[in-house]
Amino acid sequence: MPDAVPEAGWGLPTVLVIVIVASVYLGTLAQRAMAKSGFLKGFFLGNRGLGVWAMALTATVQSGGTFMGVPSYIYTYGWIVALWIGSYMLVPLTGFGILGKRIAQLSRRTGAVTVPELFRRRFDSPALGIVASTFILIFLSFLFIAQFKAGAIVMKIAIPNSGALALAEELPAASDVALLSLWDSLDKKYLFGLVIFACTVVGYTLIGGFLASVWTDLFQSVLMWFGVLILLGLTLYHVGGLENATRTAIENTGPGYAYGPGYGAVNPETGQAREFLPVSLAVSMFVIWIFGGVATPAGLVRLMASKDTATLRRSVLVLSLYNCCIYIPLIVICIAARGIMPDLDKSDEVIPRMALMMTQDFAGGSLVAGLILAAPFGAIMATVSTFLIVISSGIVHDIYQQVFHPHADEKHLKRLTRIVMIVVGMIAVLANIKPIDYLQALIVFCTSGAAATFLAPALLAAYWRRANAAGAIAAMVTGASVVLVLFLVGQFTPDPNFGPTSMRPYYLFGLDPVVWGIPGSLLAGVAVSLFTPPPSPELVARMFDRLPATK
Amino acid sequence: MLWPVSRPCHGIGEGDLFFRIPRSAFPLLPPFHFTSYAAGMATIADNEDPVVRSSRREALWIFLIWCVTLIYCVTYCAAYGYGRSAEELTFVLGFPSWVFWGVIVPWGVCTVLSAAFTWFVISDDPLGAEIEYPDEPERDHA
Repeated sequence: MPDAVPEAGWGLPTVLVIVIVASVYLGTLAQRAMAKSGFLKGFFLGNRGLGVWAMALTATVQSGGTFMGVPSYIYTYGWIVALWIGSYMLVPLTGFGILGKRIAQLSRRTGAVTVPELFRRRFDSPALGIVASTFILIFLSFLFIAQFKAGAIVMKIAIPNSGALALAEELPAASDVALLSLWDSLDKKYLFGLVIFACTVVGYTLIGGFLASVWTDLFQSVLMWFGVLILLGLTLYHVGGLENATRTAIENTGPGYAYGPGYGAVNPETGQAREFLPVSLAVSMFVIWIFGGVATPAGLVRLMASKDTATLRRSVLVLSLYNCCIYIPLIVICIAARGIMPDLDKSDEVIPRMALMMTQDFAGGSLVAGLILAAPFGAIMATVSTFLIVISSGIVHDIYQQVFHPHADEKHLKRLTRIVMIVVGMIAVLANIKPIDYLQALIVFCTSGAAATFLAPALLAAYWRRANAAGAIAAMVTGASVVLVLFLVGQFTPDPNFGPTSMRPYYLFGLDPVVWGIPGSLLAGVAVSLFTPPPSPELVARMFDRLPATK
Repeated sequence: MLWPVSRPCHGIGEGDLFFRIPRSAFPLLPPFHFTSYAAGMATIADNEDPVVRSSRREALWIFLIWCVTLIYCVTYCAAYGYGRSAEELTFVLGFPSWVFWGVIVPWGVCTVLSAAFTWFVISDDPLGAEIEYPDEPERDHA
């Protein structure tokens, strides 16, 4: 039934305006809540008061881009994506259980507000603090800039009669365009969306800091939950059961759609179908989703902000149930979509198109579609504001205050934080007016790099008494280098005919770079620690042992 | 001793790495300072904070759970879900049967297991009060 897909209508802009207003309102609430504490700890860490719902449901989406990419993969490659995303079944337990209690404790023992500060004081090493800040700023800045484009495109879709639905629209590369005709070539609706998006996110984060970011994140997670479950119900009703949907999808594609390594287009040169997920990559994904998520800089900050151990414990349960209700329905919806709309040009459009199609027949359907479409927008906003907090705290607290102006007073820091946030936001807008071609490549690298850089140092810091600063630095540098080298080698080696086509790394023994980066980083950390002098017993005791009761 | 330690520690045996096992159960283990440091995590100082011990133990259990899940899911899916023909396709509750047994069922089991783990295994300990640090940069310049 390849009918003309209805326009988004007024439902989406209405819901988006509600989301924006609610976010700003939450920002002002957050500002009031943190007024009672000191600026730094309140603004950047919410005064260590995160409760269960805020802890659990803000860890749902690692980035808006990931959430949008998953439906596209399911639609394109079929059931094998269930295995690709399957390790999310353990993400809540590993994410809060492996490091949670210890990071929460260490951040109190060190009085740390930011991740670099935590490392610096845990190992008593300013050099380590600088290394950690540098990595965090590099990785997060690129990821941050990338999110703006996605946010702007959702805003553009919301403008009635724009005719656009795709989230990953191709924009012409900057180099192709002569400067004189630059303005004419710009997409005005995209620009408008970009500016609105940037003002909203920077605005509410500026007002309410960390708490604003967390609360709007919570709000969007709940929105997404309703959106996905409503869409699931409508879809199953429409296709008359999941088995039917799968059979239709197979008729539209091929038997590969129901099996591994996934339904892939046949390469005309080699005559072979591209494999989406060979077994070695399935193993890799189990490592990436789990251990890439344990120690991301933004994730560590959340652990530092948790209220107590009971919060961490209960968060595991809440997030486990939430993930069940998000990922499994998402798989079902997108499989069914391949049966209903077999020939989408842009597979990124699958969720928006399903939302519009499933809701067109009943009154108020446009609002329901708006709710579903607002979910990725909320996810992107949440990611951007989290990154904005981590980046600005890194610049203000770890670099400016540490290196240039140790005795800056609170008022000064407050003003500087606002300036930094606005400048960072403006840079992100400028970088997205004409997104450069290799930005996407940098993003893929930064995601993998951040996953491999911080896990081993965090584990060493939390559990190994013998670990020292040199070891932690070695672990960070090695993790990042292994991933970087494998990505660079991948640019000069032949295509192995599996995995994604763009920006492919070199798959050593078929495994993803992260799978090599994490153990490499751990090994380097342990080896360098053992070959350098042990940390002072006094420091280790302060970090690991019972403290005197009265303080 | 390979490297100096501030106080006696006992390696596997005295501590609660996974659970308490008497040291005498491992007569052939190397000396305590070797097992504790070379194993990388088993240092059990008498005075170690309960949060450190419990979370280290829980982290190891979680790691084991992850290993088992990885091995089961990938092996099952690789055996029954790769490179079959359309005629062999069977369904359970609308899911292809390999997806149902290889992903959906483990997903349910892991969710129940996570709940049980948080309920019965993970312990609650006080995290301690916030410790204020002196101005670091001053000390750094000294």
